[in-house]
Amino acid sequence: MTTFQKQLGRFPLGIWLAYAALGVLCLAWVMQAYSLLDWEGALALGFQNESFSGDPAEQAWALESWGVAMADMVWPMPITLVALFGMTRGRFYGYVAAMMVFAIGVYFPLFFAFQRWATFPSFAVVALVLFTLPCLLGIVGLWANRGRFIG
Amino acid sequence: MEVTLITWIVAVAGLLIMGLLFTVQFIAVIKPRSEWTIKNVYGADPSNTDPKAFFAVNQGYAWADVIFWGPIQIPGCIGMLLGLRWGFLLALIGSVPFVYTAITIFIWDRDMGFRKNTFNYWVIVWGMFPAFGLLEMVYCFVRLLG
Repeated sequence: MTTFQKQLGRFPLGIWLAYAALGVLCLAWVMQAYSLLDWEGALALGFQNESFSGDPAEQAWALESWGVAMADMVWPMPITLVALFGMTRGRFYGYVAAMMVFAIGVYFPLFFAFQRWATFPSFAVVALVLFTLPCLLGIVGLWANRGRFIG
Repeated sequence: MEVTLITWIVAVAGLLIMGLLFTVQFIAVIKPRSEWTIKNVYGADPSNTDPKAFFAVNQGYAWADVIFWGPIQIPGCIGMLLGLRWGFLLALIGSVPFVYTAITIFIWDRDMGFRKNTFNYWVIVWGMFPAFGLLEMVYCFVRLLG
């Protein structure tokens, strides 16, 4: 825990890790937002894996992915914005919002990985490394520095 | 932290709801294609869509719930009952997937034609999870702020 409390410039390491995790989550929400606006374009860029014009299996996967993208816009994306705003102001609600969105940041790559392991194993690994790992580090980093937010 | 009557209601409800969900999802993990699992956990006919996608989608949620969601929600509720601050925080974190999965399942069931306009579907199968998640989230947040 002391490693996460080590001061690195403006913030301790744990807070930097939390900001980094929020950053990668913002990247995910941008990709999801782009997917909802232009699904085939997102497919070409590699943001999504399945097309609505494919075979019945691919169409089912595309529908499932579309639902997840929509959920990301409705629920975790606004919480991420609250977390960023609150954390920069050093407020407790920012700390709580960050913890909440990190829970989603761990949860969604997990179910994605177990769903896609047989079809897209490389994407499953990327999702776990890119999102689950930073969010777990963000949770630990925030917990180690909870005194900054809890009066 | 003080353990009030409302703390007991929220924590016990959380234990019951997550206990039920964790149990059925654990059964889905160990018996992914059994008739019982299809009928009582997935609650839909795999032949209505591509069966491989159907089972994979449901298995993804089952594994994630057993590995991550249950193990944060259940200790969170126990921590609440013990009056521990981390219990309220863990329960608050664990309340988020209730709403998240409700949105994804709402869309999946609608698009796949799995939705049923019955009291059982809207209240037991779907509605009680986000309703409890929101209640738990607001309660734990207010308590942690206090």
